[in-house]
Amino acid sequence: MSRDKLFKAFHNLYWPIIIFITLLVCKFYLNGLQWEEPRLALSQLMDGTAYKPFVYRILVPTITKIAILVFPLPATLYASILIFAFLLGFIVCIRSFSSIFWKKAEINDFVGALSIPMLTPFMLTNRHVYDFSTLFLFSAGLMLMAQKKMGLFSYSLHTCLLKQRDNVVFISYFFVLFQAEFQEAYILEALILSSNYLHKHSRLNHVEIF
Amino acid sequence: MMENHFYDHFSSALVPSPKLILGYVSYLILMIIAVRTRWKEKPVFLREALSILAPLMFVLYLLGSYPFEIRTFYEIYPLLILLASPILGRLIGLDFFKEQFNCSSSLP
Repeated sequence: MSRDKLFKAFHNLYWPIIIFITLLVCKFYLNGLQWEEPRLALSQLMDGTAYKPFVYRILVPTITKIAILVFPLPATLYASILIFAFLLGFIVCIRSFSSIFWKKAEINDFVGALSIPMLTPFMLTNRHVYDFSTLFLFSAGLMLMAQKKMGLFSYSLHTCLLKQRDNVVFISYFFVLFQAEFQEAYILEALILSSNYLHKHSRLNHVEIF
Repeated sequence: MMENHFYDHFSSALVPSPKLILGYVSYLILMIIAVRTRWKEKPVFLREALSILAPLMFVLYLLGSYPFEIRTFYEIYPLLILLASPILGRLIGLDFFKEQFNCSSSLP
């Protein structure tokens, strides 16, 4: 089979293959996950008694809590489903992110598929219920930044940066306002944008460390 | 906002097995080579975002993470993958540079 045909076959079966591999990775991930880890057990995260700063990572625990209220099933089951959903969401997101820069479907397929095995070293030492939600939200935030579609967040950020011209106040404002996990991603994005703003308004046009 | 783990990085009690360290070092070298190769031909947005985020994340890692807790770097993982893919894709015959859009736009 020629290389092009192989890529085309892979493209046709892309999502079933990705879902299957994601399930396998998720199973491996969940096997080593400690649900009742001291200081940040799932039950503690859900009832708000986990230690700081873990107690602020509320996205997965909150959705789990709501899901249990609607349909009572074990919390770990809901959390596992969310972990899988966020991992799959990340792959969808990174493939979409790639399509901003590269036009060919086979290239975007490759980037999506590559993102799974390359993630393995990140999972070896520590695992937490909120890891993949962070990964997904931050990827989505970066993608929106690349597309310049940041909506309200982008509008408020640019307004602050352009009118106040005081990044320290702005970042402090964000740290005070945004303590929950799903907003931590945006704090870092605010830092990227504010650092970039500083560089663009100093004499450096691009920061290049490599 | 975070626990201080700076001094843990100098403690031998928290160092993982040599095999794991070797694996991490190999992964790091692979990523540096893949990201660094043909750096200037890669999309500006990705380069700028990584240039700003990587040092920041490294400082946060030193201050707030246990030694070798590389899950701290999840925030830059999407950038690493997108910057490494053009080089890793060449191994299976994909030419990213030929298929690249005009990516001169930088961070907003």
